[in-house]
Formats: sequence, structure tokens, C-alpha cells
Amino acid sequence: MSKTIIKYIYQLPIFLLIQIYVLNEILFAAYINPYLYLIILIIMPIKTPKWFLLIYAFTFGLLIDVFSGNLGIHSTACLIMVIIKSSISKITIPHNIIEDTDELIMQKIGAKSFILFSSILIFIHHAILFLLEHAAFNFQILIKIILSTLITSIIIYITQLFFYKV
Amino acid sequence: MQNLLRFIRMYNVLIIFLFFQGLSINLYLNSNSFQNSVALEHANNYKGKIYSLTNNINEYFQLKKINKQLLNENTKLYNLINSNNKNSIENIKEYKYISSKIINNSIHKRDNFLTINKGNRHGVKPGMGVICENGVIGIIHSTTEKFSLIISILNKKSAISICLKRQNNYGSLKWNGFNYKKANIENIPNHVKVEIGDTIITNGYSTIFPSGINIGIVDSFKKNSESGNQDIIIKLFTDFNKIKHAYVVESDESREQLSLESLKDE
Repeated sequence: MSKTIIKYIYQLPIFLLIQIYVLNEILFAAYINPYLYLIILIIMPIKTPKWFLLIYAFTFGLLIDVFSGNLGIHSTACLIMVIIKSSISKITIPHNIIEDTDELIMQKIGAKSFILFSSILIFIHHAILFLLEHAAFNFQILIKIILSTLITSIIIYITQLFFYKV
Repeated sequence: MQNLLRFIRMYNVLIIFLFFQGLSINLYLNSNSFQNSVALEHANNYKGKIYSLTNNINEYFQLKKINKQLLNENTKLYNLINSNNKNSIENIKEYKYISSKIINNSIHKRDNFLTINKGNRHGVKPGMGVICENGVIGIIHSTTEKFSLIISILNKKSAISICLKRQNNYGSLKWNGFNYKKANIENIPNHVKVEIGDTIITNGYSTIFPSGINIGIVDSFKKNSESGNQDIIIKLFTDFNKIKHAYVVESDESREQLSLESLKDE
């Protein structure tokens, strides 16, 4: 397990840099910003120690926050997403087909359950993120949450193809 | 004691979660008064350094466009010199401009900030206005030695006092948080005749911006009988997605005006 932990610590700066310097500059329809960094939290194996997952999510969220100027938004959303991840995975992923150290990618858990699993998590993350950011709720924000979820999901589906092992 | 240890061991995940969640919510609530967060102040300096590095590379690919912009501006300035001598009553206040490069920018968040590469050392102080060749950008929020942070007009906290060029009515500019090309105007009463295409400019009352700087044109308007004020949506002249250079507006006389006006409060 410690091997995977070290691997994820390696991956943190890579995804952080991609998020800050590439994706934060890309905008769809003037206000939709994809958040690719969620993929690393989503595909982490189910049996990753909870304490590591929480500390990792908090650190990651805080770093993204610092670079985007509003403290506490991403870290709150990430922590909530991570804490409900295990219960969502129980509902959506058939447990007998994966091993403890397997990453939760399409190749391992199947396309249908991956799409369902990741979309639910991304939606929850984005809902918390935008509600905190705008500190209000109306129809426009709902639209923003749904469209952002869609675009982040698509980008995550594409990116997780790179995690395939032949 | 043993029970306590057992309790901690049983609920360690929950305890870690609540600890971090409390920490991040605390950060969220406190960072509303942006300047207070010490972490950001420090991070700003490092961020400035990193962003200016990547910006150097970025800039190289846009030399042609920037050249064109500068040329346009030059001609504008020449025209200004010629017309400046004529209306000496209007230009009571004198303004100095500090040119700067924008090294970080955002448009997709609810509260957007920009960073420029001029700071304390170059005479930039919090509260100064920032403009570009097309229009208004925002107001300086805080400065470090070499960098300063601007609250862009695409921010929930920014409110810039404006006036309609044709009718001379005063209002304030707000941004509702979605489209970076549009903004809202508040406090224009229902009886004022507004037309689509009217130009919105800064008014000279505020000590931050010189009067008559373009902001945008009216895109749509609706009379609101509840508040008695019209809901006006304007199209901004400044394309926040493309700006590269900015000018910080500095005025000694503004400080004088402010100190005079503060006398009446005492």
C-alpha cells in the first residue's frame, strides 16, 4: 500500500500544474472550467487508508485554492467528495470484480459503473464548489453545475484511458 | 483514559474529517475579507514569480497582436495631446499613469482577481484605479514589493460609479457572476430614457478613475416597477479574456480631494 501512497504523492504536482496552467485557462461557453484534478481522487483504490485519502484531498484542494485566490472552497468540496466516495462505490461498483489495490478505472470496473460512479462524485463536488463560491442558489447556478459536471466528466473519461495497463 | 483512546481509534477517520473540514470552512469564511488571510499574502509573492515566468513564454507568441494594440493606443494618445489644451475646465484633476503587464488573470470565478507586475516599489498603492486601452479593469486591492493584486470589475465586491454618456445619469456597475462579457447597471431610475447602444462611462466624481473612460454599451434594459430602478445589462468594452497590459491611474489631487471631503464628516 505504501507504494501506491508514494505514487500518488508523485502525481500531485503533475496534476496541480496541469490544472493551474492549462485547464484554468480553458473556458467553455465563457464560464465553465473543467476540473481534471478530481480524477486522481476518484480512481484511488477502495482500500486506500482513509486518513491518507482525507489528508491528500485536503492538501490538494488547498493548493488549488491558493492558486485560484479563494481559500477553502476546493478543500471543502474535495473532503466531502472523498468521505462519501466509499458509500457511493458500494452502490455503483460490483465489489467482487476488483482487487484491493486496483485503481477504479473503466478497464477494471466496466464502463457503465465507472460513468455512474464518477458522475455522481463530480456532481456532488461541483455542487458544493459552486454553491460555496457564489453563496447563493438560483437557476443559473444549477445550469452551471450541470454543464460543468458534464464537461469535467467527459475530460475525466478521456484522461483515465491513459491509466490503462496492457 | 483507555476509553478515550479506544474512542479515538474507533472514530479516527471521522475525527480527521471533521478537523480538516472545520479548517477549510474556517478558511472559507475568513478569506471573505481577502486581505486578512496571511497565507494568501505570502503565496501571492511566489505566485507572482511563477506566473511571470510562464507569462514570458506566452507573451512571445502574441507579439504581433500586442504591437497592433500599442499602435492604436499611440494614435489615441496623440489625439489626446491635441485636444487636451482646449478644455481646461473639464480636466481639473491631473492623472499620472503607470504602465504594467498583467501576469495573472481569471474570468470564470465568482470573484476574479488580476495580478500585475508593478508594486510598492513603482508607486502603486491600494485603492488606485486600473484601466486598459479599451476601458476599466478594476481597483488595486493590495500590493507587495513587486506585484499588486487587482479586484477586477468581474467581482462580487466591486462597484464602480458610472454615468450614462448621453443623459448624464449616475449609477453603479455590478457583475452577477456568469458571463465575463456582460455586466449590470444599478440605480438608474425608471424615468430615465435609456436606449440600446448608449455608451456607459466613468463619472468624474470618484477619485479613483478620471471621468469619461469608456466601460461598455447598453445591451438590454427592463423597467422594474418594484425597485423603481431599471435593470440594465451592458456589454463591456474590455475583453477580460485578452487583456495583456494595464495602466494604474495615480492622482495626487485625488488625495487632496479625499482629505478635503473627509473634513465634513468630523
